[in-house]
Amino acid sequence: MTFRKRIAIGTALGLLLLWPTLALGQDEAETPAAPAVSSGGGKELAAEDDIGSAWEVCTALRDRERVSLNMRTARQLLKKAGADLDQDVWDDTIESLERLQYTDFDSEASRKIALGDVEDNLDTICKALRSIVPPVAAYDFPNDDGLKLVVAWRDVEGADSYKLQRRDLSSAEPDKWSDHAEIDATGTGGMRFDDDKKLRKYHRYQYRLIPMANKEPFGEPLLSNETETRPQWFSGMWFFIFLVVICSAVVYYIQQVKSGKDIYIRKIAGLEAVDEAVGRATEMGRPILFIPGIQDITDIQTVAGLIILGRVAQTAAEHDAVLEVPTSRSLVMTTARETVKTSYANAGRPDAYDEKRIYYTTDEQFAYVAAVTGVMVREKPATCFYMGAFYAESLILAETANTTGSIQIAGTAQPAQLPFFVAACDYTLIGEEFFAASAYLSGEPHQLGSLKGQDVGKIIVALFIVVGVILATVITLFQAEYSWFGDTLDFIQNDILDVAE
Amino acid sequence: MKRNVPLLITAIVGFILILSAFIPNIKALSEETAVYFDIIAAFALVLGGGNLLRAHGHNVYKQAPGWGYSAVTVVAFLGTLIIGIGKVAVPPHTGLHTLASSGNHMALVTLDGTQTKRDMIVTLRGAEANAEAPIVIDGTQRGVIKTDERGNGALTLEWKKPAEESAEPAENEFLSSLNIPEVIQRPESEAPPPPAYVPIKVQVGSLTGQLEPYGRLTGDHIANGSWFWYIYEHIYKPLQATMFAMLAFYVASAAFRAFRARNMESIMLLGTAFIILLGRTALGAWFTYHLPEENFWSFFRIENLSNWIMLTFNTAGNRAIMIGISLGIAATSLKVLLGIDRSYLGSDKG
Repeated sequence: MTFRKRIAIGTALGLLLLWPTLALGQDEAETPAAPAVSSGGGKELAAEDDIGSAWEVCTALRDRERVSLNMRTARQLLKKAGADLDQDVWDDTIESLERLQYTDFDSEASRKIALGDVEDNLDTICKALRSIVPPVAAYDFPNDDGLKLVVAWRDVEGADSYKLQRRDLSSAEPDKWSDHAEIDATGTGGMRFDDDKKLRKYHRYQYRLIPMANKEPFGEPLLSNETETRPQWFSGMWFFIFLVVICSAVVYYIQQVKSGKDIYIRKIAGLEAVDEAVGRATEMGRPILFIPGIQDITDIQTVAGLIILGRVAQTAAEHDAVLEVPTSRSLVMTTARETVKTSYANAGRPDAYDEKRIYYTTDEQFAYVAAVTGVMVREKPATCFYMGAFYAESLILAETANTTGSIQIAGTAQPAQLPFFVAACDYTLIGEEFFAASAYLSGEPHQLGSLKGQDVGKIIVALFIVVGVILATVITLFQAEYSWFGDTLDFIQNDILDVAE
Repeated sequence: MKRNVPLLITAIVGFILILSAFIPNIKALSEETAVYFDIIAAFALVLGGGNLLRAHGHNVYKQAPGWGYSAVTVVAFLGTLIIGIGKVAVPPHTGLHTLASSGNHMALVTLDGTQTKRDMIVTLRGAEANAEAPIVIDGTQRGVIKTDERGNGALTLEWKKPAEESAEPAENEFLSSLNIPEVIQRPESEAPPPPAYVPIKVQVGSLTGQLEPYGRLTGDHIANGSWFWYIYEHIYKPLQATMFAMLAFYVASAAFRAFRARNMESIMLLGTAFIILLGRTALGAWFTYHLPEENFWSFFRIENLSNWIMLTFNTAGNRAIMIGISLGIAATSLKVLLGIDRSYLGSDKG
């Protein structure tokens, strides 16, 4: 496939993923200005999902999270209940937010006044939301395994704490109330309690809230709606889409290359030097030291390192070089032995395999380093390979081997250790070069195809970077955080990429 | 068969873990699956330890070159193992306990003997369902356990002697009534020797027992004063710190070799490293302190310049590498899961 076709496919995929963001700018709430309805003038929401949404939005607005999106949702819910606020309220809220965001305040007092305006406006919206939900509401926690419920309620005037009771309507004693929690009042207008104690899936529960004053019951107990614990069967749509796209690309290109298509892979100096490094060891009569990192076999870097070990072992067997592999984990030792044994057998030298050369030292980081550096100083290997996960010990290993005159080839996916390896080693495989090493050294078509598939992922990432940078620049230059641009960037960051704050 | 079974296990477990990331309902299954690794790793630890002993023991036996190091390894390994497992010089857990039982019906009573915690925890199993079991200590009822539908229940009591309920208990009330054998006495300790322990009788429902001090092996093997703790604090930690401290000298020697102005890229590297290094020190800040703090020229203050380089160029480069790494991990994981790359199994076909 030509380069242009690759770009075209990647762009098409990227646009396919991005089209919802382009459609996001259409404000679903673009209706003619609703007649002024004061808060509390509508009916209460009935659907549990709507009630849950109202409380979630209220909590998010109070914390000023994703304000634009949550205001839109709040307005939709208020309209559904026939309790929409005046257009002026919404406009004032946006204005106060923009004033807080973009004004260069000359004093802290001015900034606090602006912040106070924002909080008052958002509080107005929250009060309106609380007026359209039952006084106490219970709903299923979203996107969980069905073992969590949320109870939310409006503050009761005069209460300084609340006692929460719960009954399991699906149990043998549906009428039995049990004391569940005691919560101090916060005075913020509404409260929320996440309940994850001893719940069972697909059971119906109901809560009873008892307002307390000075540890004595105060006022009438309030009953919530009945709700059911429901496990969700799917979450993370965007992540799933990305995973499918990238994996499909990998599989597609593997098939393409298997069917005979030729692909170009750029030269990687560190991998080209493997043969030379092994040959050096043979000529000097000194061993090769291979260190597969200090993490266990569960780390993908260790697996990648062991895959490279297989290739290096085969080359070492062909060149009749001695290979030594001290490991930091017992399972890695076991796996490395199998790998090296098979490599020697494949090279036609099963007799040259020596199990004792692959041994376990210790799990402790610096004790392992001390052992390996001792081996380096005593045995003076001609070549050292560092392929796997490393931490602070990387420089100790590299510098010690440097003093003994070894040629060093390193590869790791730990960005913090790469500078040390680059400074101290002769060749370094940076990031994805390390993961590509196996395919590169094998030269097998179906492995090389996977490298091509990774490129599709890079194109998608690059498209997101370009779009995100353009949006962020426009927002900063034109103070457009609460416009379509801000909404789109918010959607990309929080819904598609799920960037945690 | 030898390769197909591991491949099948890899694929099944891998896909369970991937699916659990998208299906919240099976999150517990993925957590249970991950526990299997811990079980296998425990066996592998024995394998690794055995291999270590065998290899070094052989060196000592044959007096191979460097056998002295092997002897040190073997002695250290076995010594630490015996001291840790044997809990040599470990003080027993301070407190009292009793386990009264009759068939499946049992009551466990524990009383923590520390000065900050004075709770007595009573746990009942296999008793009459949905009933009440009184807790009587030295003839005085102190509480009632309500059992559930399975006859199980628990209660936490705050320990107070009946006659002194209104007064604060004495600071060493528990310890003074315990007769704890083989306690390591600290040189600075001025506490008087504890008086003889008078057994406390406990009755939970129909079961009776007598609170006794904990036995010698109940203490934590890393408790202060134990030999294992001594090995860790006074041998292992100083050695670890020594190795870590060597990094400073290795960084200096690596920097001396690497930061040479051979070409434009290395000059840029050298210059950037110079700015970053100075920006992290007080001396570096002193060079540019005369620049104003709040106008255009403040950008050239060395600490601001250093931060700017780290926040822009370094972060950008770091993220670019991370993107490549993430894609590499995804591709490698897929190859391993699908069995496309089987080199790690020792397969001759990738």
